Amino acid sequence: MFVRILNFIYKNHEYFVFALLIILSIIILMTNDAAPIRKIQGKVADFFYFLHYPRLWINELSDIVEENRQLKRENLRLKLLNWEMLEAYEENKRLRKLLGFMKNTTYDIVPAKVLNRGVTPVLSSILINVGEKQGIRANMAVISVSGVVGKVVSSGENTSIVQVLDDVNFRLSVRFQTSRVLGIMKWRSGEFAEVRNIPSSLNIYPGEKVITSGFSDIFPKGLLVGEVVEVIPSEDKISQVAIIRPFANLKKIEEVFVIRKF
Amino acid sequence: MLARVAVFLGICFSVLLAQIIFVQWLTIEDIRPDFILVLVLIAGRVKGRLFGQMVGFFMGLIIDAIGVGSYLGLSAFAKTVAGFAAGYLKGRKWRLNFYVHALFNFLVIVLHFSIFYFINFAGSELSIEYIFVRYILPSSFYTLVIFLIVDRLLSLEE
Repeated sequence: MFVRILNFIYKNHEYFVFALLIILSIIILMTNDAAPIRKIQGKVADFFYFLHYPRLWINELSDIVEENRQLKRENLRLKLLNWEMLEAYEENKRLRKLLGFMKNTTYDIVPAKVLNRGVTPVLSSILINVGEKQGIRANMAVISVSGVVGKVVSSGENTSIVQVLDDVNFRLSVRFQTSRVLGIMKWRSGEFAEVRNIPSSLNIYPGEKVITSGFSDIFPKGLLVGEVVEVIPSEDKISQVAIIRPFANLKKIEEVFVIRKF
Repeated sequence: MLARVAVFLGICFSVLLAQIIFVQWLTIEDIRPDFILVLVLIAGRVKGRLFGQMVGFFMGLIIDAIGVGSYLGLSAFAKTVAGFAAGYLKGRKWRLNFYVHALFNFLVIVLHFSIFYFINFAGSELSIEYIFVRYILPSSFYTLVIFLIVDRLLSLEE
């Protein structure tokens, strides 16, 4: 009888094992909330925790990539903010200087911002944000804190075009401040202007200031223009040429004043 | 013999790792393929019902215990059934045509996910139809695709 039972079990062992495993599963399932089962589950989870390391590692890597991307974005944002602040700081410095200039001058002047540099190849010009509404007309002098910049050549309602010193057709009646020699200044090349036809007998030295002569309806007398950097004899040997560096930085100018009346 | 056991344990370990690591990237709308089930189906088909259900039970228990499954014992239960059922294919694969073979495995997979999801969602307000259409069928198709690919690769080796 016993042997027959054993034979039956052996013959159908797959089904017995199946039944056993199913019963075992159901028992575990039913006792899910039991403390010993929870404890065993905790221990097994602890034991197999290392299996999660690769996933955590990969996730961490992808997090680092994302974090790096965000930090780069943040870095750029802060850099831009920093540039803006530096720009504001520089503007503040310039405006303080302008304010001081405006208080000290006796001319009727209108402050203006440079909107753009002209793109017309035959005319070196700048566009400023004041026009007829502010009483600006053609042939008004334009200066900066440093010195003469140019003159208004045309004005619209709210903007004006200014012909700048470095335009090849610009001519300015000037006086050498120490030697009191008069001359007509025109642009030479690069950063320099020149006054030609100065008699060789007159002594002009590098470093001498050049100012407006006052023989003009546009520029009042005594405005700073630049300084002599070199004096060279002309080809005819009878006269000399004074090379002048303007005080106003014409390439970087941002704020100017238009002299309405003097 | 020992080498075979070691190789099989290595395979089990690799599949377990794959289930833990890669499934997160293969999940589509909460539906994920079950690599462990694929292993159980193949173990059952190659080695028979006894081996299939044993693999199913222990792998299911491990997956439940490490928190990847649901209730402790649920995956073990479902995978034991799947392993046992898959064992019916032992020695029959080459006598069945591809579609019958695929259909049989699909039914085993559906049975597995039905046990898993119906017990898992027991007590929730989700209807049986919703669970079947939203979870059981998509998971079954997804796992079947993986199974057929793996099965095909193994057949090429054989």
